[in-house]
Amino acid sequence: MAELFSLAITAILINNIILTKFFGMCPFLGVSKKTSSAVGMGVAVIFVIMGASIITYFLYHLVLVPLEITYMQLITFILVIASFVQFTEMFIKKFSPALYKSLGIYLPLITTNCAVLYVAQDNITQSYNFIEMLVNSFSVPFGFLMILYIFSCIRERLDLATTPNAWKGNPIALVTAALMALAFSGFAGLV
Amino acid sequence: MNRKENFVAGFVKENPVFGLYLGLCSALAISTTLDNAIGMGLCVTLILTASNMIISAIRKITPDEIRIPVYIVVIASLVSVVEMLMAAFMQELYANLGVFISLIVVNCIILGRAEAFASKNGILDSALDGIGMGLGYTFSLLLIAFVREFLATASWTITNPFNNQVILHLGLEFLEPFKISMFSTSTGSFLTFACFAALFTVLRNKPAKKEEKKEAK
Amino acid sequence: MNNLIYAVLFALIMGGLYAALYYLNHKTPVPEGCENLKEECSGCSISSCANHPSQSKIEGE
Repeated sequence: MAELFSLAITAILINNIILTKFFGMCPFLGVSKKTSSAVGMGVAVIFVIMGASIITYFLYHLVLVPLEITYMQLITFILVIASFVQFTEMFIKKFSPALYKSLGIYLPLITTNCAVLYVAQDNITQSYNFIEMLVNSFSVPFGFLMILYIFSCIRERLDLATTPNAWKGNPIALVTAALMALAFSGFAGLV
Repeated sequence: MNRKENFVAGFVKENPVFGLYLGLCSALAISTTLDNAIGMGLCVTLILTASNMIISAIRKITPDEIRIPVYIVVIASLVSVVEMLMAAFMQELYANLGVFISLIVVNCIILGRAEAFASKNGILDSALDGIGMGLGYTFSLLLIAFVREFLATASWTITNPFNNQVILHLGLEFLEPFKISMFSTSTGSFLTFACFAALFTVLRNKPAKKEEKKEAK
Repeated sequence: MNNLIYAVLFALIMGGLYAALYYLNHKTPVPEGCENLKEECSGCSISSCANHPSQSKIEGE
């Protein structure tokens, strides 16, 4: 239990996926302009990473390994992720229009989000067992959601501040990210 | 737009990293040393050119409804091939770049260029566009790595990826006590990137301002 | 040699599955009240995202 907890803390705070590994930078800058869209994107990412990780985990251990075609890992994983996103979008379009209204717009963006592919591959390279895999694939995107939310709150205020012309928009947002990364490096010795 | 302009646009005006903010994940993470930057940049250039050529070659027989799946399969296969080649011939570089090689699949630049350029233009034009964009990406990585490696280690080193021999080592020893190790971490990466992004915004807006002034007169 | 055949078959199945799902998803009508979600997206220069203006070719048919 303690190991699982430290795994989660490491994934959320210490090795935060955005601030120390830079995965998912594209949506980080693109979607963080409003708090509501940041939360929508974060929730969608948690759902897709959980789903895609479970599928790829079983596919790897039950199909790729027995058939000795582990070199197909990359192609398999990216296709699973892309298919899963398409399926989810279709499913909620049909059965839950309300959910589609709040999350639908973020789903297409996730196919090319490096974070999803990274978590799927990480679960294999770290040779996690099933429970560890579940914990890891929940905490990594949870860290993503947390940072995205904090960052969007800062950015909403930043829009009201006066910034030099050249720094307006993304450059000043990146400086903010640098300061956040500096703050989060303080968690380094936690576990 | 003629071919030469198309080729040069990738460096400043349509620079994929500083201008369009594409492919940031790898640009920020890989740019710790010049070696990594060159390796990653050339890798992306190679894959981008090849994928642009293939996608342009099959653009007439690709059904329009499922173009994106076709592109993803093409790109993923190319990346797998390059990854295996690197694991076989450049172990050191492969170990340094690690998971980022396989993440080239989801690099927004490659799918973006396939969609925006290769699906509408001929093979030669697409190849040139791939090389231009790829070199623009390499150029941006080199800029960041140049600053970061110097501030973090007070020297520049370039090694041959095939046999790990040092080709060039340039160190300023009197600056050794003043090096800032923060620049090898993610904070330094964000900070360096932000400065370059601001600089490129200025560079891009400059010609526009001149024209405005001319019109005002 | 055998697993090479498996690999190709497997890739074909996965690719086919993705293509089929992609096609079906784009044929599924968008629920009421969500038609102009895409216009509300301010865009973030990720041209591979289906909300990006360069992707509107399919919807135009």
